[in-house]
Amino acid sequence: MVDIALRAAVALEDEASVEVLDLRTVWPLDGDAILESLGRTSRVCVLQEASSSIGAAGSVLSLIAQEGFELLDAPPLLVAAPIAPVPFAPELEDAYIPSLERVVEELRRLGAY
Amino acid sequence: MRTDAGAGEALPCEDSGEVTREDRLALFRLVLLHRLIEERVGLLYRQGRVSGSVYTGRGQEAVGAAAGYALGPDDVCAPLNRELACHLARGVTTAEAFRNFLGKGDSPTRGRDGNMHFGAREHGVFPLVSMLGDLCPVVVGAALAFKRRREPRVALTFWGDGAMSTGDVHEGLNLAAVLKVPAVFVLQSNGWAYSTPTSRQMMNPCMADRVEGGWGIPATRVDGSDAVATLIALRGAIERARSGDGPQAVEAVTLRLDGHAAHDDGSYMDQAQLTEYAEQRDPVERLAARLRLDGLAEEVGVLRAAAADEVSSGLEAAEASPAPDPATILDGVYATKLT
Repeated sequence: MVDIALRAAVALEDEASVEVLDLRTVWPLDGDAILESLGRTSRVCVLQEASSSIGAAGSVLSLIAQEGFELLDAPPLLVAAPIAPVPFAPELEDAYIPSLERVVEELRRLGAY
Repeated sequence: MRTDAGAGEALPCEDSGEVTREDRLALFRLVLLHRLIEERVGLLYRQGRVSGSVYTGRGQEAVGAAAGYALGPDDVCAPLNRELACHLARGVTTAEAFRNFLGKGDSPTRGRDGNMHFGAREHGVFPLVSMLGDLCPVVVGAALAFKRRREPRVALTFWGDGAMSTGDVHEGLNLAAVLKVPAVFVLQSNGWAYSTPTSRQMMNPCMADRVEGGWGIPATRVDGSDAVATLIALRGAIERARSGDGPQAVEAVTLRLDGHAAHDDGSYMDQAQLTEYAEQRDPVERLAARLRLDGLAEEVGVLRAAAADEVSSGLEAAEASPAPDPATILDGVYATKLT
């Protein structure tokens, strides 16, 4: 997802300043880095390849809600795979994983809030 | 790795009046289709047209064929990844099998799953649970339902040397025995649990012994490369289960001729043993040899040509099928569609 995130940031270069934070580890979770970044942008999109019902995104969003609430200018956004088993067919798998197009569209929505 | 048996070298299947000429020809069609579909799928995989991996039943075709063929029309079964012939015997078509391997939109799993991971509800075939051994309690549950409803139906599943060491198999066997349900367990003794030989899996390598002595379930052992002998053993077990004698087991002794799957070349296997099995005990050629002795050489040739045609036309039909529509990605996951 880091690659998708970086490409989305480039795609939006003329419209917004997008900062990409690659967490590298989810435990320990670099809370300071997350909150510092949020302090600069005031908007946050958590992007993960796993289904939205599971994964590390929940911990990140929880941290933001508890410790970064006052830094937010828009509700935090989660972009993740749908709540379904990972499908086998390549056509379905491609639709399952968050795409560059979807991330760009969601980021535009976040910026317009 | 591929060691095709030379015609005429294979030991013929046993001869028995219990297995008619019609039965023998039907079994030959099934083992042949199983072999040919898997050979074709292997080629598709190497061409990058099949995702994931491919798990074959090469060397074990007669076991799934005999089990699927021996079951009655209202019985249910849960074949695993080495029992394609069982699916075919229950009415799954070559096109349906190819569609699942290719992840097509009209495949049995609508592209959600691939490989042998599919069932056919209309034919009483349960979908495969990937955690091998887990289907044991599933069919015990089905058999318990049949018993409680007083229906003369049987539930059958398979597992191998590896699954025999899992906990769910123990729970299922124990419950089946104490509840005396009409279940039949086919133990595929193919010598390997992935890359672990049976000798490093269990102290007593005779699974029939263990099932009979340990769980009190009558078990027989049969040469699983002999389709005729395997059919006789399975028919007996199925009818005993149906008539109220409780669960039954049949251990089919074979050899896995391929690696665990297409990504495993099986180089750790004893090559001389593989060659010997492929030359003398290839299940397809053993049955062909029996049919030639029965005076049915011409029918063997006709069936070989027909099976090749059935595989080609099945693949053609599957390739013409549409890909799954990405908009349907959540269909079939929830009873109520999520937004």
